[in-house]
Amino acid sequence: MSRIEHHPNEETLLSYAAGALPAGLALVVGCHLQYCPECRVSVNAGEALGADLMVTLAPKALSARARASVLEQLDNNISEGMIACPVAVQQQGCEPDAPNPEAIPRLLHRFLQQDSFDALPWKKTIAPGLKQIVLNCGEGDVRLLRIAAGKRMPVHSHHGSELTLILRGGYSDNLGKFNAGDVADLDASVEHQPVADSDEDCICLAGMDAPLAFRGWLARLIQPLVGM
Amino acid sequence: MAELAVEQARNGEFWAECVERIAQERDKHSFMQLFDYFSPRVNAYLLGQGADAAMAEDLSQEALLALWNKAHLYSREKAAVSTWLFRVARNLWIDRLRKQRGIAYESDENLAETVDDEARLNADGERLKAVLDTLPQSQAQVVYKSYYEGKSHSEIAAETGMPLGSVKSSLRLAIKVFRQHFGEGGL
Repeated sequence: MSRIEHHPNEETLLSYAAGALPAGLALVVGCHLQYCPECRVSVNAGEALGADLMVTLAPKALSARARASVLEQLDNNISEGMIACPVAVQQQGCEPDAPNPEAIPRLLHRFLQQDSFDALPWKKTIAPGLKQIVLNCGEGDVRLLRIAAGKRMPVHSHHGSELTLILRGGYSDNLGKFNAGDVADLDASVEHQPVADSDEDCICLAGMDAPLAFRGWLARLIQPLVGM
Repeated sequence: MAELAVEQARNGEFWAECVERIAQERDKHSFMQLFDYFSPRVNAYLLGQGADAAMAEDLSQEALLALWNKAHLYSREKAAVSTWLFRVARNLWIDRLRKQRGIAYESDENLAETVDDEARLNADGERLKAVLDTLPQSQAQVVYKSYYEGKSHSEIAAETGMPLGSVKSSLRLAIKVFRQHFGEGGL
């Protein structure tokens, strides 16, 4: 297993910690965290900053009624939480996992309710060698992409932000080599043309907060059809 | 009395001991101390995120009760009590106001265990306020809008008229300043 070399940008991790990333982008970060101890540290620091900011806010006291009601509930809830929380829950997600080309990341699995990438209903696109599954996340755009081994994607840039997490295989572009667990954190200033590794299909999870902008007349022509 | 409260507020160890007493002895007195200090701040945070008064009060109660019910999961090596509460409060408002984002976060139980202990910001309220005051307006603004309003980079760009790239670089610069003042902390 290769080490993770490409991470979300610092400001992306901070916004994730703040709860401020649109769902499509946040899901990609959340999946990356399963594999990346470094980014967990950054997110934790962002949460610690959030906590300190929260504590510096001008306090707005709850009503006396709310306070009394909480006090009352302390007896009701005694030990219920303690019993209901098996050790397994605590251990799950404890240590970062190595990216596993067969396993769907925990958060994505919760979303898809599917156990294998290959069992998913991949849909062809007009772009040769590119299949996809659009995930309806309700905020932004997130999709699974499957680029056939050795295929070259059209040159494109992005209107807004795009985060791509490699789940299986890998690709190369002008920014470097991306392997399972790596994240490409891109915005409108970046134009790239990923080429999938030649030995296997590359599966990635791509979150966007705005549609892609393909360059060139052919790409522009096919864009509405690809739906990207 | 008020001074004592401020003194305690600065002391993360005091709060950690409170939670440990809740876990071991179901100590209501410790809980009410936590409640009286943190619930008005969680409430203020939730109001900032756009919750109305009734919902903010509801969720604040829920967040503090989570502390009572899950105190046994707390570990001071993993996170400050305030960080733990921030996470619970954030997840609660996401769950209620920005449901879509719920797909991107592990449950609180998992989160309590997934963090590493070296990430600790050595800030206290006064110092943090002082540092925020030194930030250029654009940087302070993106920090506020991210944390207190839950706005994305694109939303901040649209609202302020700043180019998206400037929103991102402003946040990056603010992170750098926090780091200089409060240590690496991983931020």
